[in-house]
Amino acid sequence: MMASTIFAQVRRISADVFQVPAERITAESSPETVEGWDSVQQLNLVLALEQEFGVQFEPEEMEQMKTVGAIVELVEGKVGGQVRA
Amino acid sequence: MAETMEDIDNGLRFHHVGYVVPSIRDAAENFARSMALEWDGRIIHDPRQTVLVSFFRPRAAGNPVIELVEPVGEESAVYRFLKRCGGLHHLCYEVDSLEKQLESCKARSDLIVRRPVPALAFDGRRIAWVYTRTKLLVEYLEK
Repeated sequence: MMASTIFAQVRRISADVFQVPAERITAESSPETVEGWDSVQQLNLVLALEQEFGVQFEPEEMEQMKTVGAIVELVEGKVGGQVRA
Repeated sequence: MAETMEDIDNGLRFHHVGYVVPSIRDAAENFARSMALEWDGRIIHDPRQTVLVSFFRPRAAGNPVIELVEPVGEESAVYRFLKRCGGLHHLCYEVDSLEKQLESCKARSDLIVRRPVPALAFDGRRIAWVYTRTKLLVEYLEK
């Protein structure tokens, strides 16, 4: 799966979960910059990602989900995507 | 949350409701009065969870214990939850074995959010956190 596609999917899912326009989600987006991103909404994001990509995340991986870019890298690592330029 | 036979075998028993507030001291009197709860005034700081917690026990048998949770600093896991809405946060169940419970949760495809760690609020007894597929945050407390 192309890395840019993964980013687009993560961006769409993040926008849905945090209820913000997708254009506002960038690789640098984080709980500090996205108002609806709290600990519980992050868990909803993980559930949505697992369903979308058919993967499972470990607690240690969830702790690494500090930005959208970090999430994309984690997903890429699981589905075999390329590193996004 | 649907109980399975494995859960029942693991001694699953309801323990408390967790409720996030900006200040335990400010919320205490109102909580105690409105829900007929007793409060001993003890507030525990758990640096691992980055929260203050305090327990309110029911005067009437059968009613649940309420745990008020207050974030400590902006790095607290519940800080942003409080900023967004606060309020009802989790349910806690006591179990015989956390390992057995987490295996059962994993088999149901629930998210294991935090592996077992000792908790100061429970005198060092271990807790673990799980988020169910039905979007319920559950704390498991080992007997």
